[in-house]
Amino acid sequence: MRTLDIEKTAGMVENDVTRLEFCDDVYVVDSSREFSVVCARSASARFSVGDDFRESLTPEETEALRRYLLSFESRPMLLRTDEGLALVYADAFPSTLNFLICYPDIVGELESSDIFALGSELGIFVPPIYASP
Amino acid sequence: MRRADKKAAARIRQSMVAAEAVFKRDELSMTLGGQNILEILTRAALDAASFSGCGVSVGVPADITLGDGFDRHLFGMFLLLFFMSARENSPERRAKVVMSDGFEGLVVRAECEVFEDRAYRIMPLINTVSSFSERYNIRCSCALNGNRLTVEFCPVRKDWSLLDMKTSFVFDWKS
Repeated sequence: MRTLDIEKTAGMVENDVTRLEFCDDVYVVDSSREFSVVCARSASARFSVGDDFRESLTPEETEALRRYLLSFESRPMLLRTDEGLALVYADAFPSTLNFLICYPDIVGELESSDIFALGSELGIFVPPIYASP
Repeated sequence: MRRADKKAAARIRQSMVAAEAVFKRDELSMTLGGQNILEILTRAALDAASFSGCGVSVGVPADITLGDGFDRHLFGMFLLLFFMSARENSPERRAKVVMSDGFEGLVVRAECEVFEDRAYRIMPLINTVSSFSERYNIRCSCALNGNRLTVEFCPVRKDWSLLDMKTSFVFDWKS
């Protein structure tokens, strides 16, 4: 853990980061401008800046994303995309109309029931399309 | 739960812990009544930089006034966007942030070097910050001098709706 030592007087605080603390791909998506990717911190380049995030979603998943963004849900959402399983954080900075997407590096495909089970276990919001019948 | 699912659960949990350390900063919500605003703001900037993988020097003044309409979401998102852009487009992967006391409240000035041939890649950052500025009537300026990018941003939302109180008619009515 870093320690902070901010004096009462003016000064500079430095943070020397030589490597990423965690290696997920992170993207910022602007929902007010066609869901374009604004910024990327990525190792595997799933998207480029300016790409439309919705292109990686099926119509059902796009609808699930729309409902999630319009809801008052504060938990992150698990969403399966063409690029892998994503965690969508819409509640991080809501007044900016931007949301964040993290791609945990999960090996292999997960079935809908697996996603539902993961969501239940971890307390993550899972859209109804993944609910087991 | 299958073994593969347990691994996936562990990865997601790890990801959530790292992300929520930055996004879910309850401390920032207490800024208006917080005891040490400078420390909270600086810690938020350092955490955002660590999350983005970008080295940062944060300059803090001796004292600071946040302003009535300080928006912690705009503050956090601006820093995160800037650090992520610096991480991708700066040769040194390093940024400098200076907070100061402006006319309307907190002013954040962020600077970094960008690769000469990647200057076009910071345009989405500038467009997004400008869109915040247009949407909420907040002050923001971006400048690219050579390969040095400077963005000044004031995450304080002011209500200008009472500006017409200064018109002569209202003034006369009041007096």
